[in-house]
Amino acid sequence: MCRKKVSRRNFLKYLTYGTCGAAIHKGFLPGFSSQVLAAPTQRAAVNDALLYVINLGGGATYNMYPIYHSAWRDKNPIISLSEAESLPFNAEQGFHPSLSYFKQLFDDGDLALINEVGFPNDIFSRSHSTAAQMWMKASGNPMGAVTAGWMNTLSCQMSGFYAAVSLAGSDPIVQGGCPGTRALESLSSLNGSSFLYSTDETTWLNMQRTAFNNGTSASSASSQAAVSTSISNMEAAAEAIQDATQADPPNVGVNPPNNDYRDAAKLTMANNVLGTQAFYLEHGGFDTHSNQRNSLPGNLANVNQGVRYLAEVNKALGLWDRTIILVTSEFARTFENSSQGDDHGHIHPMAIMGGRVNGRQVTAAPTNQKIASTSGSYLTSPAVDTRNVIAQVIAAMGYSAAPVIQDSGYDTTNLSLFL
Amino acid sequence: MHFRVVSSLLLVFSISFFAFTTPALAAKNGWKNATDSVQEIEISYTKKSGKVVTLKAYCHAGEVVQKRTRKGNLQVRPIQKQIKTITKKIKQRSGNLKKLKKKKKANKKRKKLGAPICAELLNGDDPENGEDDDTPPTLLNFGTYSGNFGMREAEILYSRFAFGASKEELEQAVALGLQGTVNKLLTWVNSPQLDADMLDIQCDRYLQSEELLYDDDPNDDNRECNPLNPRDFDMSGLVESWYHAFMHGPNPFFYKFMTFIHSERSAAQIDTLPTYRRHFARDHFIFLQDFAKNLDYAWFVRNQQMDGLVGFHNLNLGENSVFNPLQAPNEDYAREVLELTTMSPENFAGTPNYGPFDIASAALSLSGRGYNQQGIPIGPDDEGDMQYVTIESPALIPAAHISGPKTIFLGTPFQQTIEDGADLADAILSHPETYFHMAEELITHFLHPNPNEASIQFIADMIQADGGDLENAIRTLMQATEQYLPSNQKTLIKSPIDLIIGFLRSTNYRFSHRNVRDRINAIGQHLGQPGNNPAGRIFGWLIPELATEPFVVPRRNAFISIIHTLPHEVYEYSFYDEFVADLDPGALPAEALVDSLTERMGVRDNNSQRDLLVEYLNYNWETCNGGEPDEFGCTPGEKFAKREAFDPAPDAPHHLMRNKIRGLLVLLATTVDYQLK
Repeated sequence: MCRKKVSRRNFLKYLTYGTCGAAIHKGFLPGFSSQVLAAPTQRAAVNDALLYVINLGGGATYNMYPIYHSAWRDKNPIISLSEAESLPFNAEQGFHPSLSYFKQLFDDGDLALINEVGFPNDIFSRSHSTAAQMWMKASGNPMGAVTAGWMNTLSCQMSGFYAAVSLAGSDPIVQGGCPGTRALESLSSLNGSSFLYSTDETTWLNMQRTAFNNGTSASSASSQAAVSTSISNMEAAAEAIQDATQADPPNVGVNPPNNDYRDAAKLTMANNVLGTQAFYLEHGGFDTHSNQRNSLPGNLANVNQGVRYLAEVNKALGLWDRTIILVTSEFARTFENSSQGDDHGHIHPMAIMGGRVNGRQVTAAPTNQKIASTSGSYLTSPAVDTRNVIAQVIAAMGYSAAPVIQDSGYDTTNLSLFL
Repeated sequence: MHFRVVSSLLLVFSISFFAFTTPALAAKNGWKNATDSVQEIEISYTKKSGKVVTLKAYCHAGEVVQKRTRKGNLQVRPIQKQIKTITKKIKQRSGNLKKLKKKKKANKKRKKLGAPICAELLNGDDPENGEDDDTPPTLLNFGTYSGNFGMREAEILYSRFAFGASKEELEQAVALGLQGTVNKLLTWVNSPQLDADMLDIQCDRYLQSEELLYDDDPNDDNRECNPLNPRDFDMSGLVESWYHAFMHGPNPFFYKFMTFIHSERSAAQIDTLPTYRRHFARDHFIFLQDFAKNLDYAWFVRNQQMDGLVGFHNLNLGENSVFNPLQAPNEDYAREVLELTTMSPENFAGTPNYGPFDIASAALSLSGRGYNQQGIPIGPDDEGDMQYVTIESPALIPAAHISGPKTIFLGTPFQQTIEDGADLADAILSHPETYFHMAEELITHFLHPNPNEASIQFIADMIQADGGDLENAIRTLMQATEQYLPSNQKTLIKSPIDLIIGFLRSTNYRFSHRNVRDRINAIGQHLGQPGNNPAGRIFGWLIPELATEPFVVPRRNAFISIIHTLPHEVYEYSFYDEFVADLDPGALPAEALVDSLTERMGVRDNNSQRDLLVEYLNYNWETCNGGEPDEFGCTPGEKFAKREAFDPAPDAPHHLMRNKIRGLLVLLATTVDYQLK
């Protein structure tokens, strides 16, 4: 029986993924490698999309996609950008100058910008924890019936042994009972050190430890079960993953901004063995309560470089038409505060990129009138429901959104995001 | 007179009767002290009318039970006993018949529907309660533990409240007993030498004594710092000095408490401090230590408002002024002080504790803060002219305060009118959720991962009754019977700091504070940095996350790295002296070493596991060659386990003694059991 621990109070404190996996997932019994290698010929080849979700943690400011309306400039006198300071794509909006590759993709017709995305006014949250839970579970009631992250639930429809991977640790988006989701810090973390620099010493130590751990009686304590499962899963998977991800990604003239992107590229190349179709990456530093003009360019430059790296690698591998990159955040920011930054807001922009994306400005930027008439410190009343975007991405991948997004009654207007 | 004598005799007889038979009466009535965890379950059934009835019930040792507390001890008895008592009362028509029948029916339902659930829990399975398959919460036994307090119990106490303990500390604890050890842990000991060492490390990351060891080390930087200059210290050295204290200091509980507050309540970021505010980092750690020393939660709530690092710098309290051009106070700190550092967004039932209006009111009350910039004299230069250094300090600026009454906790029973930050702190401290949230975190951090609401409320009430003083509550947790129940062992996950510092303390291993920091960083935790909580790094550290798959191999690598770094010879650290010299000479050496180390490190082993560890010590993994096929019956060219027994002699070759001990330490430190406490 699954030992997963998710309660309303403790959802942040307990492990949820993987505990069911060890019990029911064949892939992590001895002989894992051979089973994985045998898998590709049996794996369904219909749904072959590759989804990369890049989360800008802390809430992405609208100044990523600057708005040129006078009301916006008035309410953000220091932190907003003019047309001359940014990369406009029309008279009302553009891209931050650090997002040059985004602009290139937009011009190529491969980037769709969706403005005013969020949860409806009656359920949204400006709390870090609640807002993150809502978007990671794609639910307006993340403390209720929905207990798993949407990427985890999606992976249940996939057939890969390593169907969804988080390269940002065990975020709620990948937590849940579906066994094909795993969290990695990095591929290099799979390299075990050699004890006393000796293969024989290391082997002997590892053998006895594995046998010792296998002899530990099962406990009703969820913590012990979770630790035990983590260890046994990792032992089984590490060697197979290392073997499958030996090859370096092609040289595409741009370096990845960090190892997460390189690892995502390697896992992409190993897709025919590991079956990874969904990737989760994160960038921190977007909780810009002060001095935004100083911190935003560098942070966005990293994001730009990461997206460019992924896109160019996938193009070089002939995978661009299978690629969907979603750049998003848990909420947006307010108008400018007294510290030349902004605080937690509500509606935010999302960008989707890929070879099959119907590139354009999907929804208009917030209008001058809306901005001017907003009496509070942040824009509200989203034009697009967050859940709708996720649902349409899932559908474009060839999977069913209904088991993943369990909320009902949300706006499902077709956004025509894909060709 | 005769009557009085008879009466007296009757009285004596009565007293004697009860004195000798009360325990018997209790046993006859079925009550006994709980010997295992008592888990709270919910059962539901549908009446003929269609109404769904939900009942709470309790499981103990696989049985549905009734529970009570007597003299602080949690007692249980099979629910059948209560059913029998009620049945008797119904027959005797003693009491309200309707209520008695209702109670009897409810208890019969508890017994019938709860029995299979309790049986499953005993088997170690999580029962499915409809759609909700959460592990049932536990009603914690806060009665003072009165069982044997031996090495095992001492190790439990130290691993949960003090990172871990050396063999000497454990033996001392056994000699002192539970109460004595708790008193010792809760008594701060001043250590001027440690204070001096910490300042030394903060200056240039090296102890003076170390610098003598590494004269030829190109990284050696023997520096003198100016004690008059609050900016004159090394930021990495600051963090490392605290690791040094955690490893060697005489106040392990207080340091452990600091890490608890650091992880749960006061996540900070020291590397974004500008030069003129870098002393905020040093002051912040002192602030955490002061809280640990006084354990006064009310003091913490009030004084955190003037914490330069977290309050002013990280959470922009310093930008909260009426003079800001947009006339909107910065809500950042106001939000976090409610969400993170005191009461949390919701209560146990999921009802919000506060709303956006309250955050706005809190922000207004906190307005009028900024920075006071000043030049500090730091001594004369070579020509005798006084030198100055500029620093900023957190300041209250009355003219910048937005005055006037504000309403906090609007529409709740705790609604109050406040004016300023002091009033806000008072309002927070009069809200019961402030204590409930702290109680919950204390329990889940130090005692049990899954307490029921009543258990949390018990500790919360204690803290609130004590005016925010945590000592009684912590003492209760340390002495609780629940702490030592077999079913509650290895239910908490060690943090990276627990793992590494605990390993070093329990083995007395000499490892530099610089390397300690690197090892702890490598397995995901960083003192002085925001945490790993995906909801926001400001939320601090999710410890269970750091024990998941991504960290399995890094944790192993960390221990291998530690063991590979042999202590410098100047420390005269001897594996023989530390681990072998005191072994029972009458016992088989490998077996004796295994028993000693598993006890010291708190790793549980059954007979088979013990045999595996002994086998590890007495064999090596090698390629069969030479005369070995004949001698050992192995196949040439293939790997086999070759008998090369552990040699306990002080001058034994390294591969038969020292290296085997090193390997055993790594093996034990990377078992499932060692990741838990």
